[in-house]
Amino acid sequence: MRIHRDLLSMAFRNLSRHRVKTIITVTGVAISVGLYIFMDAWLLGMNLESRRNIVSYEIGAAKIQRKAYFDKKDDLPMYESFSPWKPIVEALENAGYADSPRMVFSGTLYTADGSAPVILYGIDPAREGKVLRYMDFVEAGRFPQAGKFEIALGILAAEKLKIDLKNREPVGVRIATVIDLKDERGKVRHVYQVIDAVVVGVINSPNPKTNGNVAYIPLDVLSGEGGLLLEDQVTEILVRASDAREGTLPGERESPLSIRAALERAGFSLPPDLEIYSWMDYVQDYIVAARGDQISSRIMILLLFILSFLGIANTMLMAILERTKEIGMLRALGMTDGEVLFSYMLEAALIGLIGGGIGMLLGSLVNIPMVNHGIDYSSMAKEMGWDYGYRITSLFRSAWNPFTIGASGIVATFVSALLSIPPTLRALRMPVTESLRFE
Amino acid sequence: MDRVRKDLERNGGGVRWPTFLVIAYRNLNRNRRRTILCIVAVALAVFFNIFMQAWVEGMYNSIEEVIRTFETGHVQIVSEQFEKEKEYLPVQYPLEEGMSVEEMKRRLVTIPTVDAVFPRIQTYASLLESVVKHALVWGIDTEGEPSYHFFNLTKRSDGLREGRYPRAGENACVVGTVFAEKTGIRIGDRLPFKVVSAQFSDKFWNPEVVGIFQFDYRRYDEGVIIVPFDRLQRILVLGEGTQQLVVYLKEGTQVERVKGELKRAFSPGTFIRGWTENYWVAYLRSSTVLYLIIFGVFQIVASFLIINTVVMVIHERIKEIGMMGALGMTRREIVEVFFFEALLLSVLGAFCGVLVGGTASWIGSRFPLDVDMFTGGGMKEFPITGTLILRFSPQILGKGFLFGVVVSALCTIFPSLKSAFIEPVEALRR
Amino acid sequence: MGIVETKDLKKDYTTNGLTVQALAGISLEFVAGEFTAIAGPSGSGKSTLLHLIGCLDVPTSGEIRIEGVDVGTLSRKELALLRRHRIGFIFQAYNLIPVLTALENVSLPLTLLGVSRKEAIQRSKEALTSVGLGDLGNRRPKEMSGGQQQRVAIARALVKKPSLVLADEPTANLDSRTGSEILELMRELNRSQGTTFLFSTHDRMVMEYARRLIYLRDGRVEKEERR
Repeated sequence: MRIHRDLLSMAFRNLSRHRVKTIITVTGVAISVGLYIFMDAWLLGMNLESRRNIVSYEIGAAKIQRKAYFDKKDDLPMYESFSPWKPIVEALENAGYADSPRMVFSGTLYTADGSAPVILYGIDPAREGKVLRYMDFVEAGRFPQAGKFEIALGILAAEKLKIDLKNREPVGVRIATVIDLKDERGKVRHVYQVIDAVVVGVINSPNPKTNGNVAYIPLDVLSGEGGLLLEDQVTEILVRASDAREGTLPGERESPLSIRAALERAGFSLPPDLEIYSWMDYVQDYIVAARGDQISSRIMILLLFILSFLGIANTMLMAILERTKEIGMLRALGMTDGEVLFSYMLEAALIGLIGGGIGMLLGSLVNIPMVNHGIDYSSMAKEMGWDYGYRITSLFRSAWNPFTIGASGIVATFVSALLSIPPTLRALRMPVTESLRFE
Repeated sequence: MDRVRKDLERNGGGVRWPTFLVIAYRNLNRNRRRTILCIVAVALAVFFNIFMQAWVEGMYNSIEEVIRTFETGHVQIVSEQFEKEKEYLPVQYPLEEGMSVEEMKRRLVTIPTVDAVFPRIQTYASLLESVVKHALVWGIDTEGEPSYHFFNLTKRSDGLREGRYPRAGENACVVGTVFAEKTGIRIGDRLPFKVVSAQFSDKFWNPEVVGIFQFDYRRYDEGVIIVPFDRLQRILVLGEGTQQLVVYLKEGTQVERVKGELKRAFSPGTFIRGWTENYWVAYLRSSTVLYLIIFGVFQIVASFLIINTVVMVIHERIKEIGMMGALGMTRREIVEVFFFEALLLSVLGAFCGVLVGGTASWIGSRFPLDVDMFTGGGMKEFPITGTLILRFSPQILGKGFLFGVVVSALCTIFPSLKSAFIEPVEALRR
Repeated sequence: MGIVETKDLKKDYTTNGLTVQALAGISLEFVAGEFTAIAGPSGSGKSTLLHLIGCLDVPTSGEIRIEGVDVGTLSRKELALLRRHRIGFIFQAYNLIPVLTALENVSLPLTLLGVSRKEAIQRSKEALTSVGLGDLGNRRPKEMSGGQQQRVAIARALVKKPSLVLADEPTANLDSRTGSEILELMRELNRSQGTTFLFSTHDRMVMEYARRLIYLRDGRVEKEERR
């Protein structure tokens, strides 16, 4: 509409009437928007990467486990293991899922040079490779083969124990552990066991949880005579859709409910003491840390926004007050109240738009190196023992979030426009003759 | 003519500051809404500054105390070999081979600022008959240490929940509440575990649990067994020696000075670490720069509002400026009028910010926060107590106030100077 | 020696690219105790002349001497001090400080001069009384009529006992009765205290009161009259 075009050009020119004030206000908005975009992109990057790393290297989409185990999972209560697992695994594979049965226990690893406490994962190498991808990250040596007393060690443990597979031969180690079993009466018995094995590989994946004091050993050797006499017990079964693409997060089909439904459709029902849990149930430390960061950084930026919007409110307040006489004149000339309101909203929106636009540009510019490279937190990560919630080893990177970038610009524009409404309405309430006499 | 010359040399009183105050105060009242907006903006920034500082200092205090109490004291002395392998907590590299603990203590106590010297042993143990497989064994002077400092830093107590600490040489131990819960162990039970001695042999020990402690420090409450130092020393075949010594000074700030003297008491293969060399302490100290930048950004954005106001105000009162010039006020005096108004706004705003921020941090200091809310039980390596107390201190309030006022004042000098460049004639002509 | 001497005073203005010659060479002398009006049509340069004499502006060329001192040699700060000590101004649009009371407005020049608070208040009260506003000291400008405000301005200009009072169209915003009251007041002060008054005006009435009348046209002195 022609009149709107005229109003737009008037609004633009009105901005230059108070150029200094406008520039200062715009700067405030730009800083707020830019910072918000930066923070949001960074958090998104860390979260996306953590989630992907959890699903791809640590847990998969879901776990099947006894409820009694889950309730004490931090203690690794291996006496809450279950058996038989083969029927469940077969049913899952028929229903289109990849799965990996595991026996998880803790023990101490002894070498000639020292010892270290480790968490041991008894796994089926073939099946585990279809669910998790850390086997692609064998930094030295190779992954253990089924049926052999071989283990793969996390790189930190290997370094501590001075196991160097690049330059030296595979090393024999002794694993000492105490097996907890429930006897017929339900009482827990402790049996001291020792396993001799050879370290054949070292793992260094993007998820710090696979690189610490962990060791992977084939499941089948644990059941037999030379192993832990576990007779087919497992503590959990990991589940992932068999056609899941690398690096994606679990989809609808991989939720606990869908898995259960798929099993039922195949005619298989899980024993009553077993439950299917989502991967998110296992990473409380990550979820809480991530949430805390989201909240705290959002609050900070919100404060900044409030400060900037105070500036816009102030600018509009004063601009309208100064031009009371002019508003009276426009009304006398025949401009409707709606048109006056629109013209001031337009002016305010322009400030928000320009500020938001500059902020979007600034935020995006900062994002470019952050996405491509990120910040190296490896020294702090190391001091924390890689235990800070996020599943990232060294580079904390941002991710592009076009939604936030666009939305923040739009929000800045809208809120600015809204801020101009109250003072304009107040000016419009004054009788026209009084406005004309206003000084 | 001489009379004129003489007048030009006298400046007269100029405008005295009470007059400034009156004029500034009344001018602020001219446009209440605008004044309030500015005050709110500055107050917000100052509040944020104070609140964050209270938070950070609370965390910082907690970390410092944890490190001083449980890890290094004011100065930690170990052998260099131990330092290289310290992640394993080996006992095979005792401090100062050939010197007994008594001898070491004697040498150190003579150094002026030294307040106390304690021998300690930390080593990993494998538990034999429990669902928890590993624990850390902490061999300390179980008679001296609990009465020397607070093991429960939150409650400022020795941390004992039930029972008692072992006596020197006793075949006993104490464990943390979380550990006791997980293992189901109670006072009177035996706790068998295995450690590796200084000669690399396995040693089995089966002490009686005589007490349960709660230090409100997750790492200890969950996984540490405290035993008498001398008993552990014997079991580990350390003779008269020790794995580490922690030294407490009368003044925590004297660390650098004392280090030199301590070095002289030991042979070259010894590693001496002051508590400030801990990674976390150093990291937190270096973050203060980052915080300053963040606070600065907030304060500057808040000051934008005042800058805008000053610019507008000068524009509005341009005729007044002309008249002031006509009356004979120098440019400097005119600038001072506007600067004073801006300063008054900053002071009022900063004051409100101090009020709100002070209240918030005072509340935070009375109602401690549960750190688990932020860590979800993770971050076990982070040396912080389980509850966080915000730090309410007049210094933080004062610094926040000054920071707010100074940054705002600096930001508003430039627009105030603008008033100096207005020619009285131009102003009057409008 | 006169209080004010100008020699071949010229002043040009450039606004938006247009150069206007406001004064084209004014040479005048004013002596102590004068009650003089500078008259002429608008654009004749009378306000400009007054501003130059009051050291509010700098001439393009020519010389101005105040009590023998060549003001062209003085720095901006010295000019400000000169105004502070020696010159009083009365404007067409009163220009009182809105946030100060009448009494405070009047005492402002004294405060600038370093006069003690007590003495300043005392003298200000006397000044207000002499302009007939003795009991209105606590009123703010917006609570007073135009005539009252102008009187406060006069009191303010006079309270420091200046040698010279410059009044730029003082009656322009007043009705004729108030205007004549103001002029009576100023004439009385001129007589009793001997203060020199220089007006710029195009008001007939003001011109009648003046004892000396200078006509300006197009930046030059057209003619002079003495009464």
